[in-house]
Amino acid sequence: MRSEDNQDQLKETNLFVIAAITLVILGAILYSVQMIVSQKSEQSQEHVLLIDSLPTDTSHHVSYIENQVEMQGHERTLVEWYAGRAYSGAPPVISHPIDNEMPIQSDCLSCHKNGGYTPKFEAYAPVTPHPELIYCRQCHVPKDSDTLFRENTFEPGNPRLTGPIIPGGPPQIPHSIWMRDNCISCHNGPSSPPEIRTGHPERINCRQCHVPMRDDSIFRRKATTE
Amino acid sequence: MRMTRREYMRNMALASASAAAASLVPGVLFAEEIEIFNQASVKWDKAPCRFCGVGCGLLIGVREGKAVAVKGDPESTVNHGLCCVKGYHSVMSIYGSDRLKHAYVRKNGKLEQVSVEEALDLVADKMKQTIAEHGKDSVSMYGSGQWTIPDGFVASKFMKGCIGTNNLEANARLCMASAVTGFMTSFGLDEPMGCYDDIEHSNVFVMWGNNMSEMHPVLFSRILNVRQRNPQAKIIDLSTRDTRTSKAADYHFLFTPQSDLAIANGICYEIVKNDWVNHEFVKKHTNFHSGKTQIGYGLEDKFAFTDKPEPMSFEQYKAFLEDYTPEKVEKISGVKADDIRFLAQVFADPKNKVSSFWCMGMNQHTRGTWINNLVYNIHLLLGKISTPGNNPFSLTGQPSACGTVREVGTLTHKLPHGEVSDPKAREMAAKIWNVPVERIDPKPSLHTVEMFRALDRGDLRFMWIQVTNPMVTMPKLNRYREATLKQDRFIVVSDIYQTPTTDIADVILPSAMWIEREGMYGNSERRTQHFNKMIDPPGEAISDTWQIIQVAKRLGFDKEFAYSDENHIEEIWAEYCQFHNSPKHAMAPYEVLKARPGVRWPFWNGKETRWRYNSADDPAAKKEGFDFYGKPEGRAWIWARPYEPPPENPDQDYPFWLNTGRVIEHWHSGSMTRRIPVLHQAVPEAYVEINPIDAKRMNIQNGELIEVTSRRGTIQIKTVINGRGRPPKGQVFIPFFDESYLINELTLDAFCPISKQPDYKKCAVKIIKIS
Repeated sequence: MRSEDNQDQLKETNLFVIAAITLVILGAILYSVQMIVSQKSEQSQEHVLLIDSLPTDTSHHVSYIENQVEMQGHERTLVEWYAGRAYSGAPPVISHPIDNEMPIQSDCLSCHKNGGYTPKFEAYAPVTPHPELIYCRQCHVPKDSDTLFRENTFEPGNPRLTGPIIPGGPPQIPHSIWMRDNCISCHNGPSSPPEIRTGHPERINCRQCHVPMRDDSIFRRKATTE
Repeated sequence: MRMTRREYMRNMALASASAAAASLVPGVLFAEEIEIFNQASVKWDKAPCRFCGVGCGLLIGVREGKAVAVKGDPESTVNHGLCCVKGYHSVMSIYGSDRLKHAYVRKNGKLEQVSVEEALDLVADKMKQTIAEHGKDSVSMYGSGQWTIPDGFVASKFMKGCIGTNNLEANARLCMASAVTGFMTSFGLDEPMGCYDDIEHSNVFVMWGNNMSEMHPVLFSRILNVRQRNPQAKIIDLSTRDTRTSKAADYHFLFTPQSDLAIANGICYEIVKNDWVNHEFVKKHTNFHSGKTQIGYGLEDKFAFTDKPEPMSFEQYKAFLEDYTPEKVEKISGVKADDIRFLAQVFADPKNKVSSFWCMGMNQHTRGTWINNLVYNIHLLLGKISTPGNNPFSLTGQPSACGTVREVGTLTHKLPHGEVSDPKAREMAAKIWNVPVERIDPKPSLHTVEMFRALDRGDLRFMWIQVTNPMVTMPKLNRYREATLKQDRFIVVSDIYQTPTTDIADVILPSAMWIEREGMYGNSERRTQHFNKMIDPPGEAISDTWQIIQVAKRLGFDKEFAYSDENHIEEIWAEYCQFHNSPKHAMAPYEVLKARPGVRWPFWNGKETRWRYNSADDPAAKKEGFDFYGKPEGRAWIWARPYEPPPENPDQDYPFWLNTGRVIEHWHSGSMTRRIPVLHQAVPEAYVEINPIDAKRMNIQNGELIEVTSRRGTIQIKTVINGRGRPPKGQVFIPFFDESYLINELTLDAFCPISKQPDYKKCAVKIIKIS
């Protein structure tokens, strides 16, 4: 574990720093435990299967080593990412407490417009792909309870992660890009799940290579009859 | 799904093999091919949203026979691809694990499962028997603004055309009736002159007691977009409670409940006094009327009222307005005189294009018809009506309150075209329905509140309730619940889940909901929207349309209901369109509805109408400029309607106003939205909002359980202080979605004498701190 290495290095520094870092890590663990507990078991199983088949080599991912806060423990996995929404394309729920229920916008955009580390929640704020829509609470609601009124058997139609069709080729976009055409808000940055994080965020014209998969049919030239 | 290299090579080989085979046999699909490429297998189809009256266009994703996802339909000009939290999660309301899949019959007090066929037999037998014993007016049907257009059409044909009783009502009586009578008395025809396109043309938006940010969020977002682009655009909120809409508004004026009547008259007073009147418009297109005053509140059984309009001159109208100087209005409403002057100025400023919006605040009002008239007055005096950006707009709460209840006319006094009292309307209906004209009763019978009172008295013995939940939503609920439980009352309930209303049912019929059947809804802007059957209903569930057809056939009306199983929706639509075959109300043909995300009527010569009564856009308007053809003289009516106090005011014993309503997450009585985990978990239970000053005075803490009591009932409920809404001092607010906190046991069944719509926004309660 990286955290052990860190602590070895830090033994020489003063006690205050150690305590602070331990607190941060503890908080992060608590946060992720809470996230995992709140998931529905069925849903998570499906995603675990998907994730198992992902490449384990993430060396090509962007390094956030220069970030002030340790990334590990703050990253959201794809399982956590899906746990916050009813299906791919559904507006994610608000996972943190809200101080003021009344304003339509609260201060959502102060963290969710550009992202970044939020000490209050010990997490990286996800970046909204549609900051021009200011009535956040129209679609995003908090989660104030873990109970259900009645059980629900809805099964989400989440896209499956697609690898490249040709080895080394660009994967297709497996989801709708309506209101989510700002790719880097989910596919780059510390709040993005590593499983779907791009290895080349410096290339900003995503759709030069990645195209949406809108249909599952294949082209077939109509038979000419004459 | 990630493939290993070996799998990949195998799949590529298979793909090229099947591609080679396909090139030999064109048009034939190979199984292997589907295996490989079937990854984006979600199919999308359009439907209007199941919930509110905005009528957002949705795209429903269906995979393997199940609805799995929702997108906003970018093609729909209602929502341009954006939904609210309810719309996005709407498909989850189909999959509550306790969906009703079978019919149930109450035997010796216990519900027992029977086949749907047996249940339909019993419903028909019971109807026959009740008619034989007590006459045709002892049976009734109570539907809703969630009925599809075909549901309402067959219900009307069955009750009015076949059985021959006008005992047909719908819950829209509780939500839209004052809007209807407001339109009828001012313009002679129902439904708005403008449409949602007005939003992008307006720069001033006036909310009349309307928490649009929570109730019609997608339209509110359109307004917010306009304001972001145009710094001159202003939102003005007139309300009795501080809400998210108030917080988003540029100006917020809090007024005493019921005093909107005085405010609207005060604005007109200022317009007339300063001579901001558009005299040319007023002279050419309007005239003035007064009606009866001191008209009562309908609290007693068999209450009857008929208005008596008297023409009046502009000078007489001017004299009437003398009671509404800004200073006098301030005394009644609590809104400062200068603010009344400011409001009048904003309305009148020739640079401003003004849209007024309202919904339940003005409609659930013991003077609901009057306040609708009064807001029209403002727009008529200024000629700011029926033109892009200048319109009064009455919003609706249910997906087809307009399409079904108002346009098909599933109310006691209505027929699909015109009213039962009009011989011509009866002849038309008899001809299209192919029934003897004598069968249609010319006398309206029971409106909703009176229908439940008749059930209590025993005048009514049988009620068939479809797609609504009156045992949560009726005011003064205790009386009407007891009525349904009396001996010799037979209640049939068609629904998709068990609710407090199925609890009192003798027969429960399982219904196919929304995209489990084909149908049409009509939204607030005269837009008719068709949706296909996309998935199968669970178990033995069948559509409400088909349930009515089956019972009608069992009663011997085979000829009238000879629709085919496969095409009955298309056949019903063709039959219904004959009622509206004129430039005033023509509907789009079936194929057009299927192809487009909604069409606004009148649809004439292949063109939909956005601004009615405007001769430039409305095919029925013939006069120069504007033609209010709903009235015989082609003019809109400006009404002198006074302020009159509500029937029950806070007093020493019951010192608080009780206001009820909704939250964005839940819709209607919550039977669908509470089964959607995201929505339930956002607002898991009802609560009472109380002003922080009152709370402090009474030493009530946030989250503390308190007792709220009216003269009719009492509940214990948790407080919320400084939540998403903040009532002023002396008022409490409780949402009605939660069947565990039946707030309508406290509300009063007083109604507008003209529209017969109850007032859920005002009654007197007391609060007791428990412990």
